[in-house]
Amino acid sequence: MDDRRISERFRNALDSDPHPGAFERLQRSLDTRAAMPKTRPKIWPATLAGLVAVAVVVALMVPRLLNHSAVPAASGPVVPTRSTFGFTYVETSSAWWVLEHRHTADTILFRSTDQGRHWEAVLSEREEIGFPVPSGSRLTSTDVVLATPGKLLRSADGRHWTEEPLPAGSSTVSFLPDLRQGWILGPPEGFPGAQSTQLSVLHTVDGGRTWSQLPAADAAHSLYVKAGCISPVFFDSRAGFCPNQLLGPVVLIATVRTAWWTTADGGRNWQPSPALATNELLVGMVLNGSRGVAVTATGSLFTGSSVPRRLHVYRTQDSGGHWSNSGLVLEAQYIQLITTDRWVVWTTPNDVIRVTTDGGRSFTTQTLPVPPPAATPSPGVSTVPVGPAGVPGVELKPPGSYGGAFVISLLRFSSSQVGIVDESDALFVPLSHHALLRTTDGGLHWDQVPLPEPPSLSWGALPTP
Amino acid sequence: MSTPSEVWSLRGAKGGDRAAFDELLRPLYARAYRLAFGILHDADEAEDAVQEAAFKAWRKIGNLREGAPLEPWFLAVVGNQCRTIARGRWWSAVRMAEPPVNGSAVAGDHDSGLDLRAALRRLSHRHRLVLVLRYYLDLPFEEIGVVLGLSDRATRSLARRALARLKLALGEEFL
Repeated sequence: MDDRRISERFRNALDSDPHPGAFERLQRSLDTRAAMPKTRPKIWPATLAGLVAVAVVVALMVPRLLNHSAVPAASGPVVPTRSTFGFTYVETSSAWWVLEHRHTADTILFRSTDQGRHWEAVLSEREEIGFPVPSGSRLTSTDVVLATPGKLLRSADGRHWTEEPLPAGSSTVSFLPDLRQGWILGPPEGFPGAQSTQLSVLHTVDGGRTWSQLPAADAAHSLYVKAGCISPVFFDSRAGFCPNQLLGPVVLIATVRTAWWTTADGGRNWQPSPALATNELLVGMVLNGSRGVAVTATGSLFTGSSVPRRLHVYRTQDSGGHWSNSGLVLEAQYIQLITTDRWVVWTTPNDVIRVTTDGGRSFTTQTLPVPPPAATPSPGVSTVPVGPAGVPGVELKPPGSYGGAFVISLLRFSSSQVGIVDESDALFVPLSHHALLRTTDGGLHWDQVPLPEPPSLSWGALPTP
Repeated sequence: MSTPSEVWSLRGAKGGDRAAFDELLRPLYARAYRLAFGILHDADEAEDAVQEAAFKAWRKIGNLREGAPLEPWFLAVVGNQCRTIARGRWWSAVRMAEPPVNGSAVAGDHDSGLDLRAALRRLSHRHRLVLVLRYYLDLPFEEIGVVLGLSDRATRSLARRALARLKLALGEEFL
């Protein structure tokens, strides 16, 4: 099929014009948001060399002057990454991070086993890599199963990988903590006899090597397809929960409703529970023994808006059996619950981070530092002077002058002290890069962590086991 | 290449002239909206995404080099905004379709484009983005590369993979 016919089909499927007055609404929106363009100072050739020299000196001296915690030197040039796909801690010290390579569009999997201090490129794939395992919470630093379109990648040491085929077009994968028993939502195309628009549910007991289709009467099938619960989370090999946040059919995002399903037999049977039934979206949950905290949000489901969401905090004292509204309301885009008492709240557009250590009774405010600019200029944008190997140029700013110039993509704390932020200049696309910032003092100070270059750009094949 | 009028407006916008910025943005709005709609498949969300992207573009207009084309830059901002929206979902969304009625849903889906939309939703954001830019907005690969921040070779490779993935998701012979 040629490009013209494909384009025709896209236009038929997607044809949509803006609502009348949409541009005028945009203008009014800009009018009401008091902000001016950030101006970039002109750099005259006569001063350029001097500024570069000063920048290099500053870059070398600033870490010493600020007396920050030590950051190891880069083991190579910073990877020219384009965007982050996933980022997760699997335990206190171990983390996985997926990035896209700018020049090859490959996705690269990095692993850290020392609380984010060093990162090692362990896998390069031509397809996007996902994190299918529920919350990654039961993974170790080595034993992992990942999904890419069409296959599962499995490793027992983080270095050697095997792959298993997945049904074409299948999407969400959930595994028990043993990484052997799992479920996957599949499209109808791969399963003869299925109705054309009926989703299928497949089950594996051998870590994804073989899959069998569940009958519609199966409890798990009902949970996934009818209740719309597609991301169950397991605490251990038997107990788990699944917040149902889809109503279907088609797209009824605006009327999302959180329901609560529990299992006590490893996912074979699920019981609906009225414990945390709300018309709000569940955005976070942490359990510590019998005590737990859950946070729901009203309004938009998305964090993309600059308008903060209203977050409501619920508490439980009986391992989720009963929940009560604490009455605490937070206005923020994002919240990460580290423990039942320690939370990190992120508010845009000023990218202010607030931290509580007493379950929301009091907060301290922290501000992120701005990372240096990338070393790879591209056509269509201004260039900034940089030193060798990405040494920051004239845009180097001291910590505390964040100013909203960069976008925080992801923020994760692995403990009360150690956290990592992924910052990207998402607007300044051709110069886009990712700066990994790390804290070891609960967010008071942040330092940038360099990434190594992958072994080679053509390193796309799976190593043989 | 920008026209003298665009260069003039860009200078004004960089200096804080909102009217000049509006003049730059107005001719881009419809395409930006279609890009957002092509990714999000929701008219209200698409309008919100472009609105938010416009605000960010206004804040960052100073980064744009004089004479550089505005459209790929702004489309990149819109694409990133759509991605932020999608990534902000706490859960992985699978949008469920109604069961077919009397076996007529397949043909109806095809005629109305529902099957293509459903197939697009099964793709990653990157695959969806490159396909919408190529086949809905009809951008040449060179411009798509600027939007995506990829080299020309990587852009073509990504588009090929995305099309293959779409074909798998559709399960049809004619795409």
